[in-house]
Amino acid sequence: MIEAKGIVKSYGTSDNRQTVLKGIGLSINDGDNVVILGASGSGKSTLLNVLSGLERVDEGKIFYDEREITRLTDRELTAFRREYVGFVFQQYCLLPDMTVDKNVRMGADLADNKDYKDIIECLGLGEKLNKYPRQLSGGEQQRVAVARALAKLPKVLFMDEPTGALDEATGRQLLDYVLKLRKERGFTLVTVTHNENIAQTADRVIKLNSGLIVEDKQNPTIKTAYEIGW
Amino acid sequence: MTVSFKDALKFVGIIITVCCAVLVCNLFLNYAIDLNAVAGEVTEKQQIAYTAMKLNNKVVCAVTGGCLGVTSAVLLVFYIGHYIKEHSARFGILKALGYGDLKVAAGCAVFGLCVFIGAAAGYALSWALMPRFYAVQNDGDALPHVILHYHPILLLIVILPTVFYSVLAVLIAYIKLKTPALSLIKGEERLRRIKMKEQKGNRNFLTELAFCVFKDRKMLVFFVGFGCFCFGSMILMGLSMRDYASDMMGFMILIIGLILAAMSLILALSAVVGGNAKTIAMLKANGYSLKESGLAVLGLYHIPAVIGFAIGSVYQWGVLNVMINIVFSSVEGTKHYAFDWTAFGICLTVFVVAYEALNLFFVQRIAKTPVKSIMSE
Repeated sequence: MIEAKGIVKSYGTSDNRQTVLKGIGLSINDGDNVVILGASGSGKSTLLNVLSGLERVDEGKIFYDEREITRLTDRELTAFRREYVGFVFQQYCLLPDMTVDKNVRMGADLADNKDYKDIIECLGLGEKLNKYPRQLSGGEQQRVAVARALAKLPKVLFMDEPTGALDEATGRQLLDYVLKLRKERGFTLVTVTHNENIAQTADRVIKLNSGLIVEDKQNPTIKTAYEIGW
Repeated sequence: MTVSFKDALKFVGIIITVCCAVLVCNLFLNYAIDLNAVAGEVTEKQQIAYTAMKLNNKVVCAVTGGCLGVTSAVLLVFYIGHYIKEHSARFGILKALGYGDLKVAAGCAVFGLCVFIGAAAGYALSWALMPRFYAVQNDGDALPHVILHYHPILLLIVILPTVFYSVLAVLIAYIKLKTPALSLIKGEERLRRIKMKEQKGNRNFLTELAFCVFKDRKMLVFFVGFGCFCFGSMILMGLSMRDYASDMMGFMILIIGLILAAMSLILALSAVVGGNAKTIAMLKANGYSLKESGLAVLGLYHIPAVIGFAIGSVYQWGVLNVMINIVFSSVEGTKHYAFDWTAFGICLTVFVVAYEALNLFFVQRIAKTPVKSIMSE
């Protein structure tokens, strides 16, 4: 279970300081599929970064079960990310001079996951193992990024606008892959998006506006990636 | 202007290298001209030492001027290439707006200014040292008394490199900018260079990454090797020649070696860490430890470092052997030269400690790379 209490995060210097998160409190149960929804500048990506331990908070506490990650040293935080979380970013962030196989091994080696090729297969990339990122389409690159994140067998997968750079067909396909894999493997999924349609695929939707949670509700009718509008 | 004067000032490596080259060349050329003027006063007893000193001046000027000059040119090529890569979007936009390659490249002439600063500083410094240098050379009766004179012709060693390197900078930039504007804006120049070879499946990720980082920038491998070569050759030479030359000359060689080694190594390792910032950030985000990241990014650079140091040590032995045991063998009282194992021991210890300290410093730079730089694509 992830629990955040009174999260405050600001950027900038003292005379030009902007508070992006203004006292966020939330909890996410193990295995949940949560979408954090908000317009550009609402603080959703910052919330994802602090929840995943990529960034430190200015105030507040974040717990993973009983463990408070906001008190960890840099070294401990790195070890925490190694053990707990996987990331998928909007811009894929693949290593350009490494093949699909090696990009995915980046995650797999951390968990000593010898079966990482199963994930590559599941994501329909079996044929692309020895291709380089620039030989792949945007959708394929994002699937590699998902495979890399899942190959480290994370307890929580964080996705920041995963379909933001993809067209509709590719976006739906990617989302479908991730949702199926989540059902199969049972990891917690936290997705940040501005696309309200994607929110319909989640168990729970948290709406953010100007650094505050304005709505937090369970989704009564969960849809698949192919049932939602785009 | 595409490149500001402030940008040019960041090229400290070139400034220092040019400064060293001009300092040594002006010192020895000025002395050589004044030494020529006293040719008529040389006695029969002084003849051998006089000839040896003239030869020594030529060798020092040729080796220092040539070696440091070539180093500065290589540094300039590297720096400009690196600068264009870092600011490719800026150059791409200018080209897209309709500015010609030559017009955009002309802005790089400002890099000639850093050569001028280095040369002027070296020239001034050499004049500060000149009286002491002459006093050391005039010590004893081996040579006639040489009087210090000012030779305006030697101002050319400030002017010519400035003009030459300015033109060279524009030329390099012009060649580097022969890339479509869109590729520059997207920063695709580097990607095109990546050869798509099949990667060995049995290698783990970190090993593969280490090889990729190492092979990606061969110029940096050269600089690491070259820096350690300078360390091995010039510092060892400075320490080994205490019985054959003045303390001042030994000290000067030692300091130049140290500066060249430090410049090359700092330049190369900072470019390795800076150029792989996103990879490092990705490693950190995924939970790779600092030790793992450090080894993957910097680990293989130990190989050119050790090879460079070893070649440098052998090279200095060869140079001193030829100079002392062959060229100066006829000079009365010259001791036979043998490899100085004590100096080598000291040099090796200092090298290991210094290289590892530098490595550690850059590992700390890796630690400071913000994880958020992943998102800056």
